[in-house]
Amino acid sequence: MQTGIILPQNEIGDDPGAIREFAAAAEEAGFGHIVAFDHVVGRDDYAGQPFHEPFVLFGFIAACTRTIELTTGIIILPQRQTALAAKQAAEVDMLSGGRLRLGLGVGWNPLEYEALGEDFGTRGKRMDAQIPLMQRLWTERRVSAEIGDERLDDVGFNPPAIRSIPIWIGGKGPAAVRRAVAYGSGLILSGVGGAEADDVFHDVRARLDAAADAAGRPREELGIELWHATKEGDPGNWHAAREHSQAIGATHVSFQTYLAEPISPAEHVRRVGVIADAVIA
Amino acid sequence: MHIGIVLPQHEIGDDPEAIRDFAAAAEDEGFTHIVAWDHVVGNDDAAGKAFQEPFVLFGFLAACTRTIELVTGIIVLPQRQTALAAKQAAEVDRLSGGRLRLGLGVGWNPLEYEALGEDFHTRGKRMDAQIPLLRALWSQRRVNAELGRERFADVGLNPLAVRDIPIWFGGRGAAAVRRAVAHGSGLMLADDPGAPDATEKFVDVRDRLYAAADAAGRPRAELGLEVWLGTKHGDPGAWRAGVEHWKALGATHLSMQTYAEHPLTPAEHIERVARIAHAVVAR
Repeated sequence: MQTGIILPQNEIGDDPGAIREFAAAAEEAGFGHIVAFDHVVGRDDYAGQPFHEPFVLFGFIAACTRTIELTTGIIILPQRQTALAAKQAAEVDMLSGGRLRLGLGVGWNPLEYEALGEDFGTRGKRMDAQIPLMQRLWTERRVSAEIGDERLDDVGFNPPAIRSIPIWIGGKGPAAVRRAVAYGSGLILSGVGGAEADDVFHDVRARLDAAADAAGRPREELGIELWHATKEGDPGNWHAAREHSQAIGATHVSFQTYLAEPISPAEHVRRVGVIADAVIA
Repeated sequence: MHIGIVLPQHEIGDDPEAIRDFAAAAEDEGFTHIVAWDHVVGNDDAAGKAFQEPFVLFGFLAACTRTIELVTGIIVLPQRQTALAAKQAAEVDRLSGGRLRLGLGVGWNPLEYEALGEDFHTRGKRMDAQIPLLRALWSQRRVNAELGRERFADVGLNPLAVRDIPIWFGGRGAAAVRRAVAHGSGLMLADDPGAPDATEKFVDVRDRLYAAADAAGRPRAELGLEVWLGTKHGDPGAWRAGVEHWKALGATHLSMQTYAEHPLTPAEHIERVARIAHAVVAR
């Protein structure tokens, strides 16, 4: 199982030095990946909290690190232009030497879609068309395709992507499972916790395995990522959470550094080491 | 006089270490800025040559350098979503400690606009509406605006930009001059400075820029003029003479290209950074 850390975007602040230190600390402590979330605009809702822009941020972190995987958790793909998202993902992957794991989701916030001029109501359908188009742009020299207003007329990327970037899908519903099996490498489950967490996980795993079987894909090609908070409990609890995730079949876990009360960027950097001591063998 | 260098995107390749070494060499050799161009997709045209994506690239270069200014030359703004362009520009500026100079242009390539789902024919009008919206998004917590399909209903970026990012415009026509004086800090001229009529064309755009500045009551000194100089021909003495020539005419920023008459390896481009610096950068 791969163990990663979540960049605490709501509290890490504006100082690039703190972001560099957080990423370097995560890599040095042995975390396998670092996760960043995506919101372009917001109001007084969750999307209105501070967020870095993941592709530009990962360009920066690519230069600050050498081995850690860079994971979007997730990019709200349907509200972005397909070709630009594909180009920027390929740029991150190239600059990081093939370290991008591209988590994609449909989001929940109509305000963002409206600001970006995309339709919230048809986001799932758009996503279904966008993912194979991205994969074609990464692997084919010239692409002709049409998605809504986006008309690709025998055009392509130069330089080509260095590989077909692994795609993970955020969510646990039937559409997320279907997309993961059709195009992806796994599912990212956010907000799964509490007493029913095991039931939810087993249900998702069973549906993912069934869909994989039906599609003729080996089950082990499809991972499931879980996120754990460390606001409560002690290092022993966090270690137990990791062990439990592995026991029930998670392939990736990502830990958050937030506490119940806001903490400084330096304190987040310090907690990377504290959490690593507890959860990384 | 600001003397910078153009990242040789067509030949620098896809090895991040070469890109890092090029930028570090540019900074070490005293160049004040590094320029990257923008094309998202292409076919067998100029847009089909190799291009890095400037915002992500500058995120990377922000971490590889400490002082050099990062200049887009230019981003084709009307083919991008306004809010995302504003967010990504602000992110580059934040991560670089305020080192972004945002060159913007309308481009020339309908194929890119079509691929990105934007209208090529109304690109100038869209650009005129996008610029004040970028500024509003960088500075205001909540924005209400409508720009084509993009509807901002009391939303904003968080965090805000660390400052009002300087905007330059690519081009020499009447619209570019008007935008530079109304919204910008200068003009970037992509004309070939080696062409026989290059001096005449420069003087023409310079005089129109000055006249527009005077009419708007803006000090001429607030508006820069950037010229991109090739080094394919001539020797270091000729490059130095070229710099003096454009400086005397009123150019405030020059950007040197490392391309030679034949394709170079990334290592050769890096070697030429120092060679050009020795000729044109004052020490």
